[in-house]
Amino acid sequence: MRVKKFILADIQKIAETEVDFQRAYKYRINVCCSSGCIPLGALNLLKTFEKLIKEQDVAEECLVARTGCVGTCSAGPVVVVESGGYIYQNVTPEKAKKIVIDHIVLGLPVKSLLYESKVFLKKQHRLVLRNAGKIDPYRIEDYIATGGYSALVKCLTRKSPQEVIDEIRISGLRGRGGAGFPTARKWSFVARDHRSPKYIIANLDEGDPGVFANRTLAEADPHALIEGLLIAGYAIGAEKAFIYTRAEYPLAIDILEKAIKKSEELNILGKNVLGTTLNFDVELRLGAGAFVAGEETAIIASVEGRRAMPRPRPPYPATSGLWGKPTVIQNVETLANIPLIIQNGGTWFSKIGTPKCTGTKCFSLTGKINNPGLIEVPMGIPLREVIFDIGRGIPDNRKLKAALIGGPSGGCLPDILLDSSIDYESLETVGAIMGSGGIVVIDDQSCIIDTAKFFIDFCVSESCGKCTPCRVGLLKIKEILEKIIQGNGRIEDVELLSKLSTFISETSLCGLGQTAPNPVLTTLRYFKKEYLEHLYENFCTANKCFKKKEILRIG
Amino acid sequence: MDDEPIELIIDGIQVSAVHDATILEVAKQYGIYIPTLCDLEGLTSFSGCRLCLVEIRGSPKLYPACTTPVTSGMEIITNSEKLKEYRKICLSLLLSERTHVCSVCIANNNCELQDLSNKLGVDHVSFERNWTKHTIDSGHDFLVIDRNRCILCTRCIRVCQEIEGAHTLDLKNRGKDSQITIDFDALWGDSCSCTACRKCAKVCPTGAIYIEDELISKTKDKNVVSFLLKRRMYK
Amino acid sequence: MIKLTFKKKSESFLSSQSMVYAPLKKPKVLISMGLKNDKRLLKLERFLKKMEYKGSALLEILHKTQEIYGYLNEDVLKYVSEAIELPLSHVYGVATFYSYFKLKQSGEHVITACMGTACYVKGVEKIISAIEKRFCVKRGGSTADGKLSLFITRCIGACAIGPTILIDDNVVGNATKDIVLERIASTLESEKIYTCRYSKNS
Repeated sequence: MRVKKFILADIQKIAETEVDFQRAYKYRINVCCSSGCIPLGALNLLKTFEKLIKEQDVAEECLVARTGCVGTCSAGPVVVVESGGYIYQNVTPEKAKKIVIDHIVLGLPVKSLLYESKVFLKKQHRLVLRNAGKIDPYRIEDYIATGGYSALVKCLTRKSPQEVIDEIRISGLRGRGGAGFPTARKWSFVARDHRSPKYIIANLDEGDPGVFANRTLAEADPHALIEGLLIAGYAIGAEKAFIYTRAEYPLAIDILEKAIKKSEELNILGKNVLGTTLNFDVELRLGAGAFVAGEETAIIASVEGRRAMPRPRPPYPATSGLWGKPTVIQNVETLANIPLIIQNGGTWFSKIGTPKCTGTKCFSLTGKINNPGLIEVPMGIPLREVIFDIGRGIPDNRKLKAALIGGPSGGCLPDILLDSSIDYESLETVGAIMGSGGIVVIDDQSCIIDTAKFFIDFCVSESCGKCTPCRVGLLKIKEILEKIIQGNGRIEDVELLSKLSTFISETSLCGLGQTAPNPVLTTLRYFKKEYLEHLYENFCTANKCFKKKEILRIG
Repeated sequence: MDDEPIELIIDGIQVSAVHDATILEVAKQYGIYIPTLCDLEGLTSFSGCRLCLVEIRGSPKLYPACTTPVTSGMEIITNSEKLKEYRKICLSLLLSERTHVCSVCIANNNCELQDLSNKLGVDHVSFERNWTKHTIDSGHDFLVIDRNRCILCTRCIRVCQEIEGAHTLDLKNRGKDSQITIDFDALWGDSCSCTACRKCAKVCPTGAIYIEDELISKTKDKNVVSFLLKRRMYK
Repeated sequence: MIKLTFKKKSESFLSSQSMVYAPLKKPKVLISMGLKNDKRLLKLERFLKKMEYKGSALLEILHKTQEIYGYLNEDVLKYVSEAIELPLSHVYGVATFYSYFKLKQSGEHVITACMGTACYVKGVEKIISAIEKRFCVKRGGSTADGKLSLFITRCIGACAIGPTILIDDNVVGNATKDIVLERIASTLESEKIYTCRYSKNS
């Protein structure tokens, strides 16, 4: 028997059936089963809830669903009871029973277990993460019911590829991968090219330590990513896309694989998408633990099965990318924005954030902070609000020493600069970068030189070794920092460090090398006092360095 | 349109060039010197050594001359004070990366790294030098690789792959641990793909690959690649 | 100081003659090695077929090989390189470039410590050195008897519950030194053997 091929109108039908199906339930228990909550026993909890609603005989009015990340990772495992969005924190099987009996059976929310979510959610603007924690990533129907794939239908029925690009241009969307290149411009380069085939690569290789925004997105809402890819493919005329993800993300890989398979079954991917003339395939490609593979040209090399070494640009991937063909490389967060822009219009999107940087940005908030987790804020929000309002400040009433923004190649910003707003330009002026969106907070227990060394260490081990400044220069910086930490530094080392850092950032081949000295440059700029204290007085405010020397003295 | 020559300025000299030419090629044509180390005529560009960086007026970035194509109206500066300084740092870094001691090196007086250091005025290395203990493989009948003198310019790899076609050599590991590997990390003597064509030794800029019992001045032959490529056209 | 390797021919199963001159169509190498009836090899062969012996699928093939064998076996890699017609040096270069691929067999139990920024700030370093001291294992290496391996990874993405340590496949979130040491010890049945002789001070 031939499987029925779905056509455009079917999306609407699926949505209607699914909405009716969900309306029949009075309550919906969403159990967060993302990589953050699973280690804390979320899967077990899911089973407990399913058992409990049967025991309590409320299975007909309550639906238990497995969802992606709610965002409040510190309070895991997290359970959300809809409607009303009651977030329960640190749920154990015992607490689960109480929630089911009190909230579902009797209709009284358990106040003592609730998560204080007002500030956390109020300051946020969840666009990309609109479905995170609300839908089941394994069920495409759930996504369609929230209006998913309607943007694709809109494109295929009412918009020409050029109109799609124009809409993106009006929205002012910029690449979320770090550099902030306008998406519409990138697309129109490739759209103008008449060669075929063309390719799209979705970059899900966030190797930055301390960053998990993209992973969470893929785990929570894989179909938004696929829909974004489809629209991009329609706009630029590509028929094949690769999602390049880290092999260290088994859950995201599983979810994406199933999502692709399901879409193929429903004829959303494949030949003649939804009965139209569009052909589109998505293939999942696994990285293998190379941070540098997040770079545009390196990701191409990696997808082609070579060593992920960047090459100089020009030629840009837009003209000569994958196998020499025009290629668009887009961060997954950018792609997830696209269905929203098509649905609501570019003008609507351009009003969010700042005029130059529209939209929102996901950040993973980690380190010494009371309320770590995944957040999405409008562009232009001051860093202080993110750390102290959403993140609720530093534990144990300690003082904030620095906020690291932009991953290992970002900058260390001191307390006085926390009022600078989060957008591409302001961050660049203070020496940091947007990066892929990580904020790590450091308190006064950490030594700033040790922290800088940690980042340099990371970049040394992740450097591909192609160009001299990055391969040798970073190693020398690391050696000098080590010397300072051990108490063997020389006064002229500060001068040498800053000279070498500027040299590396100006002469390196790719983005990794160009931004790698940022932690050293920013710490030299804002925490020079600490360097001098280490050098002149053998004194470390955090009391972390010089340990080896002490041991020697005692021995 | 594509056949029209491109007009541009290099170091104040008005020059014209063909389409798709790189800055380095044009500069060479007009006798303007840009130091290079990894680049070799006839091989694909690698752009790893970063010695050939030049400034283009109006842009804050530096551009590698070996891969950047010329565009009309470009104004290129090849020898500003900043570039000179950066080239010196770059060479010092290379010199301090591995064990480079000219007096006991077989390639003494025939070494491009040494020549460049003299030419660009690198009189001392301000970084702490690493005395590496990488393996020396003299297992082949006459070819020897001393990884302590390697600067990872990958000329040998490219010549082996693109000209000879054997692809015996490649890079292994990454970053600071990068090394030249022979087949599956084999000894050269055990290599099953090496044709012993000696081209790697001919193009090596330092004393990393050399031929046993042969004068290094006789071995080194940078022009072998362009010579062979010209021959191939005579088919 | 410097290791000199003089003319020494090792026992390579690929004789140089066959490699250079024999047409490289179907890999025959391993059949002679008694691996013909190896089920794992059959599995790999099926995957190669699925990938159409394409060189561009090298990363996928390496992933699959590691999945099947647990690590990248040298002989199998040589087999792969011949099957998909890629130079040995290229395959070796790719396998060593990516840190996810392991060319050595790891221990029976694998401890993976996350060295992401968040975990580092929260003090994962102390836990790692404690493991090193207690179980006599160096990071990136295995114990002498091959029961335990310790690896460092860059961020497993569970930053909010850092520091995180993976014991085999189980994630230990919000880890402390004592919890981790105890969990590892209970994973290894006879704990005493692995305790270092000179770890009294710890």
